[in-house]
Amino acid sequence: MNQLELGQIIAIRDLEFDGNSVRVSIGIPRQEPGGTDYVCPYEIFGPLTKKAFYAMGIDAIQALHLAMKTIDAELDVCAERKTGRLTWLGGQDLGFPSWKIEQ
Amino acid sequence: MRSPPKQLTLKHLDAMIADSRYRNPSHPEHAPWIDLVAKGFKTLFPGPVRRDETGRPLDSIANDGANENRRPARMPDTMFRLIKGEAAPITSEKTLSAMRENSGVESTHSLNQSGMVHVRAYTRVQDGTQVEVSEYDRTASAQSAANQDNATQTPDDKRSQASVPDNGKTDTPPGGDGQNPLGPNADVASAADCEYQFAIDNARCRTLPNNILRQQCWANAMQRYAACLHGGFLPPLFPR
Repeated sequence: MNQLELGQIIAIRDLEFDGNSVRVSIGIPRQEPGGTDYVCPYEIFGPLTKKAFYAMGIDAIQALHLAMKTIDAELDVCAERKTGRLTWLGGQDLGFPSWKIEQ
Repeated sequence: MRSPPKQLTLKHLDAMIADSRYRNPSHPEHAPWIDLVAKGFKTLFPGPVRRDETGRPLDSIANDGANENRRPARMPDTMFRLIKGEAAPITSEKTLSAMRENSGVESTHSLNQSGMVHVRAYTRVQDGTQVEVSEYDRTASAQSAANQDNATQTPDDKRSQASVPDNGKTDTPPGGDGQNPLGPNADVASAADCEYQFAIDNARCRTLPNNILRQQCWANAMQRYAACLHGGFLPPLFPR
């Protein structure tokens, strides 16, 4: 199983975009084969965005935590977000933890 | 040096990407190995990557020939430029020979006895304009090759050079004045560039033997990836 492969999904959040769903799926953090560190894959699938990537961590919790923050960054720059019409439960806050990005 | 398998598959490329020669930028065969992987991708994905409804690449790839200049979605920009012959840092003549034999394509580079790489004249596209690059000699290290040619730089390299003109001595963080940290004429790094940057950070984090340092490194590597996507200032991978 490579790092991008989602595997078993542990969490899904459906965001809204013009009546369509932008689905964020997070896979189970797993230890890298032959390694000590963990990889947490995620996917963002919407009408304009198809992205599969992963976060790394020293353990499963860190990988999961960093995956959620990275998802926030991915969503921030995705095409749906740029239209200003990507929402969660009707609001602009998509509910993921984030980094403060220095511009 | 391992040759590409005769029946090349994505699995082979995955294995080559997992190899330390791909992941370790200080490995003497790093640059030619990337080139080899790039050629593999070119063989497998001659056209844009087609995806199924979940966004995963399909095994059978259509090549209508109309999009030769479009980079496949999962291919880092640097790889794509290498494939197009716009940049090809080569550090080992043995590797180069093997690549020539395998690809049937003559490279623009050759290594001489003094360890200098002679780069023959070539054409590349920069900011949509064709640029003729005259022949030149450069040292054979991968790092100096990366510094020679802007096309092989990571977003981090570009930011460092754009904002730190005096060898890293500056009081103002890049982009701290609200300007594009790459400079006014620089493009914001693409997602593929950021993934490439992360691949390098990823390889560097793996080299750390200490769990505490590696934990910090993962946090910084992911933050750098996020900052790269935003076109923002990349925090250091290893804070002092």
